[in-house]
Amino acid sequence: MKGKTSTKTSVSRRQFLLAGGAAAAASGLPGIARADEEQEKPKIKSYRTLGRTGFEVSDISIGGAGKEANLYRYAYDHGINYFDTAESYGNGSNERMIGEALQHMDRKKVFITTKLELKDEDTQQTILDRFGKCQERLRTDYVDALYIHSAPTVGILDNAAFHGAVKLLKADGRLRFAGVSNHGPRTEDEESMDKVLVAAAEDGRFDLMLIAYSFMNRDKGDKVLAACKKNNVGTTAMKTAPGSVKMDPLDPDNPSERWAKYIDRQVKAGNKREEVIKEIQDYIADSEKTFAEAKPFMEKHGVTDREDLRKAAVKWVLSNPEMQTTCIGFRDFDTIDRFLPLSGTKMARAQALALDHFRVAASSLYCRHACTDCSGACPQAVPVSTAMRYAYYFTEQAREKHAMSKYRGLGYGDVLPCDSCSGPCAGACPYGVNIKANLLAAHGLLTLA
Amino acid sequence: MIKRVFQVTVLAALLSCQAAPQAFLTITGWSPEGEPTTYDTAGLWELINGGADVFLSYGFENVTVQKFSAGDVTVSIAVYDMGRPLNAFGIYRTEAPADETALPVGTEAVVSPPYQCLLLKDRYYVKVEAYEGDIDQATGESLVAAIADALPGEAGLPLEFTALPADRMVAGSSQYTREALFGLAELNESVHAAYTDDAGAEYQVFVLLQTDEVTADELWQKLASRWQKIDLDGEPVLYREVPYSGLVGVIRSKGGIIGVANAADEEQLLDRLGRIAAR
Repeated sequence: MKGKTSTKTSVSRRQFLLAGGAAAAASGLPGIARADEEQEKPKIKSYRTLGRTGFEVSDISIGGAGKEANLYRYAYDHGINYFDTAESYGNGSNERMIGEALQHMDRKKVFITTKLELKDEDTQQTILDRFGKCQERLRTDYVDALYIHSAPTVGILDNAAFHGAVKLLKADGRLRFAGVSNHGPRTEDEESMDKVLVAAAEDGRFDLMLIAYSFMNRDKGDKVLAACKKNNVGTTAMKTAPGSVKMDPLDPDNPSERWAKYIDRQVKAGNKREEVIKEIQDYIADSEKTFAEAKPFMEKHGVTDREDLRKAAVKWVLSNPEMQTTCIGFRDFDTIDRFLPLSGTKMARAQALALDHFRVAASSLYCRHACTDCSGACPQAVPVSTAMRYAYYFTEQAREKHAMSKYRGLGYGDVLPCDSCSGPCAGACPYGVNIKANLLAAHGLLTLA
Repeated sequence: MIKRVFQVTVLAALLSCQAAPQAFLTITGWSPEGEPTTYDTAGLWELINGGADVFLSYGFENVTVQKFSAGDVTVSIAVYDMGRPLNAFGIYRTEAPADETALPVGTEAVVSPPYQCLLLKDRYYVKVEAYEGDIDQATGESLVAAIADALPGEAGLPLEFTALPADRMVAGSSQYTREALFGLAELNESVHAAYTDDAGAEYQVFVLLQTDEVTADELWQKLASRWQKIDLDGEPVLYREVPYSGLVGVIRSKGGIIGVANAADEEQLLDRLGRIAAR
């Protein structure tokens, strides 16, 4: 493979891909999560200064929670004091939930952010009107921060209607700060997360950034964090869990439908059947080897499932003092209870180094959020980043049906063009990800082939 | 990227209506502008960004959007196909403002002047938003009625709601929740509604729906492993406390599981469950 990151490690790219990639990588972290969960009544233990807002924010925050207002009340009673929402979350229903919960709180002790996605037809007045509706739903005299939701380009940061509205709202005491969110381009005409958010941090008019950030996807986020630190801009992390992909085993005499189709197409493309089978077998053998190597380490440190991985990922973000709060979309009380003990914890240096080692090892295997650097490399125009995001929903958010439904919407059915493609995408990923292999793995997962 | 502009004929066939040229719905008094655009599950993010999450969680299949104008008012009409009536009901009730009066149009509709109207009919959830000018109440009502007429399907509540007792149900309170009812990870796929007791206090009654993935027996066993157990006339009741809202408890019903929430204590829980069982 021709990727830029050709770091030699004891773990091969294939091994990581097949073994669950990032999941297997992070699972090797020492001292993750479980030892921290022994307290009966977990509460937030650490607060950090949210950039130039001066607000002391809980290191764990809550955003886009489920359909129960009491989740916010519960979070508040356990020390969480930063709530992230948006006009578009459930047509304002998420804001209504927060508004209902706010009636049981000391307003001054919580930081409420909401977001508006700017439309072409927006004027200063429409933004003021839309914000007014947000405020009504939130049932509050003031909102702490208004974000431009998923700012697609640097150009939108200069939207005169938005800045005019913000100026008026601040003067009226209805708004305190402005911010920008971004989790990567959705289409090819949108710009990268780091380009947009670095520009926003340096702009001077934005006080807060909402950043897609995980231990497997830190490069772009680190650039944004550096710009935020330099300009004393507040930082909130989202999408903190890494993604992973898996593959099914191969019985040469009775291959699964997915492998059978793959073999068939490779043979039709001119490859010898035995060579194709050997390639797959090597692939799987690497996977098993990686699992065998990682297993004792995982068991020693109590990391045995995806939730442990998600906790490790959160703990990694919490260990970075430049990220002031980590926003999690809690859907139920139990999950809040399970994640709260992570507050105030930091990875020991040895633990962080171990994680870093695995991050480097898995770097060429992990398709990153907020990255479309390979777009244009595929002759079939397969949306690589999108397909991998769906694999992330499947594996890391446990939203299997949702992920499969979305993937089905891409229209590939049982056949992914990669099956019969020679792979001109090789080398297109600046991180060295084997795009074709990852896509095939994701396809198998998302079609349960 | 998946974003397809459908041909008029395809959309007309899809929605079983006699569409005028360039329109995907024939709406009396309203003229289409431009061509309709359809977004599927992958493209929904382009249309509504972070708002897509909740739609997808309710089984969204596709949405067709087009602008229509009448006089000084231009609106954007989005028809979401949610795959089945229960899904459409769930997203409609999630998005409909609770303080607006529901209209008996389609299955139900609300008009929120000056910006928005929402309509539910069969498997379709329709969102009308002002693009230019304001939508007043009368305009909104006639518009949603015309859209309801143009959409195929039935106007009644989804059949799953027949499992809920009708007596003392608070009008307009029924809902379908796919995940974490009352914020409890163990309660998924449920229809529920508010009820009033003799003192006028409100509480929730819910039915847990069986799915392809989990039977009522399996679900009961799962709850039994985590919840406390008491008896109601010899029948087992499983219950637990919910933060800020009292006790929630369930009993077995014919082939299923039915429950109540918001009980102040065990006595009230058993009383309410007993009344439901008697029905």
